[in-house]
Amino acid sequence: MGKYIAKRILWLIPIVLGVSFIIFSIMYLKPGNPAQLILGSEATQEAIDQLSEEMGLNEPFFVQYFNYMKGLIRGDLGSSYRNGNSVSAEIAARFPVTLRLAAFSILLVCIIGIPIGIISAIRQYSVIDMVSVVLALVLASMPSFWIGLMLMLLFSVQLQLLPPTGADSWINYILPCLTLAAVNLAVVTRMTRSTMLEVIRQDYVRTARAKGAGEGRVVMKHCLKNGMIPVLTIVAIQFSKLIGGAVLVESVFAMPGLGSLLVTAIRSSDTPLIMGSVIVLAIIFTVINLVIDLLYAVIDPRIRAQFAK
Amino acid sequence: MSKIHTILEVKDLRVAYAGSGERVQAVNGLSFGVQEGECLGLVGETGAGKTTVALSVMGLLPERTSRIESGEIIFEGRDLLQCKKKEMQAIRGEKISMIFQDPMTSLNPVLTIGEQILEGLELHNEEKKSREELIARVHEMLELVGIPAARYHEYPHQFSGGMKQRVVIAMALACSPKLLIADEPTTALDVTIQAQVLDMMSQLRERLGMTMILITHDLGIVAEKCDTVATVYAGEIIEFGTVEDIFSGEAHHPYTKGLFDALPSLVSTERRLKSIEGLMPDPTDLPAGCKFHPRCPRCKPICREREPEPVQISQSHMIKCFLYAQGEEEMGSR
Repeated sequence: MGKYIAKRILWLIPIVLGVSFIIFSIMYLKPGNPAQLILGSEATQEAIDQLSEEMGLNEPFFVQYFNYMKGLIRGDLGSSYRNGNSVSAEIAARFPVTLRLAAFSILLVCIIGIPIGIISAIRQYSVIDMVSVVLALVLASMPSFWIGLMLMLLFSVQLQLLPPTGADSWINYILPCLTLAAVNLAVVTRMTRSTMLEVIRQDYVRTARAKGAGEGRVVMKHCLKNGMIPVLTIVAIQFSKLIGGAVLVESVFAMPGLGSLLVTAIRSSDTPLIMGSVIVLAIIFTVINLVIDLLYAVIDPRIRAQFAK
Repeated sequence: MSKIHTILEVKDLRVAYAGSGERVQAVNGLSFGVQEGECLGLVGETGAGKTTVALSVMGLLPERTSRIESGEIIFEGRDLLQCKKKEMQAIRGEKISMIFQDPMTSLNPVLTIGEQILEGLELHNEEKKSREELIARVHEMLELVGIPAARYHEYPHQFSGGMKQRVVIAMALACSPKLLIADEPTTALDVTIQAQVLDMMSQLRERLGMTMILITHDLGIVAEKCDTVATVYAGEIIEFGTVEDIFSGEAHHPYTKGLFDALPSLVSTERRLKSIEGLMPDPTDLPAGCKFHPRCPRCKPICREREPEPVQISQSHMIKCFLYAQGEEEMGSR
């Protein structure tokens, strides 16, 4: 097991290399001179040339990439073109907001979605099942920013219960989390339902019934563990997506998160900030995947047996 | 044994499956009884309705798609079809157990085999035994079916097919049930393992004084292990008798005869095996009259019109065929 974890962590090296190389190439090939960007459109050609020389922008591509990677190995992500702040500091300031947002919404999705999915499967074609299908469909077809705006209208403008924007206290997180949960709920509910339906028809579930197990015990003890792996996979994918891509919701609620940081960076061609954010996201995705793979092993002894090899 | 008594009696059972507009008549007025301590073999082709009968007794028919249309299943004086869910749960696993066809899929892959055997004991723990006592019983059961008790904490994927079936048997026998239904318990196993598992089952049956219903399409197994035999065709019992009646009796239903003719023989020199012409009738559209008549080599006009009544050939031997019907002996002797 330890060996497996070490192996997976070593995989981070090629992943970071690949991701950084791709992003760096794109930024290099992109038209526009960063020096011009930093100095503004009023700057003289002389000043631009001088700054380009200082920043090493005249060096060949591979030398530039090598220099960046040298910094990365030392843990130095460089500083933003726009305001000169250290990229690590920028990310460190934004990351907790995004993490909280993603974690709470995914928690909400699991707490609501999984039980509804299970009930839908046990009572297939019942009223609860029908209602959950329709509700999931409706929620999934609405764009997230629109749900966000509607919630804001209702709870902040009409009822004046919750603050519309900001990230100062936990109250600020309620609306964005609800929005993100609403959007992601459908997938988890449907996934839980379909895997549970599949598991309920398995022979070993009939065996459990033949032993005299009641419905509750059959579901909780025999079905749940077997049905959780696909659900876990979906939840992990959604969590990763939320960390990197909750941009719309972050901007609707003016939450200073990682997603909106990345979008501003791209808009202003801020190469170091883009590189830093993407590499951090890649590392987070890899770690989430590792954790999920380890959870598979906890759930399923057959996967555990493969790790032991 | 002091007095023979019928432990299970199925009377005029009719079960239909409803799916996508079609009605599949799986069991059509089937009746039989099992005496305490004996082993009844239910023989028949795939799709004859054997498993449906077993599931009806267990109360495990799929709820949404199946319907018991009529009949009684009397077990120890109680009609199981009238029992409430909770009552059936108390009977299942405790008094009536079932071994399913495929041991590969009958065990839960994420629970240890020990836990799975223990579960039945926990569910029917009327004497409020401690967990330790129950675990000791699991160890005892494992040893009984020839698995070292040390393997308690292993998972199903760590066992071979034959060993898995032993686990399934241990699970079924853990509560010392009165009646064991074994649905093709050895079909999924290879021949050498089949013999082992069957021998073990009959030894355990004798030791525990258990009644058994053995569902199979293997006449060899029936000859060796069963006391009485029922031939099932299109959801009906068309011949019922002791092993002697079926295997060495004179009179037979043409279908049973066909089954025997399909067996390879060591004595005759025939080069090809005989098969029964045609296929099992479509259960959504059963033929009128005797359900076997389209395939019957000795079919008569009456067979197409009327359903044959059961005829007692001897006290123990019943055949449902016009060949043996009273008052129509001239047809039978032809």
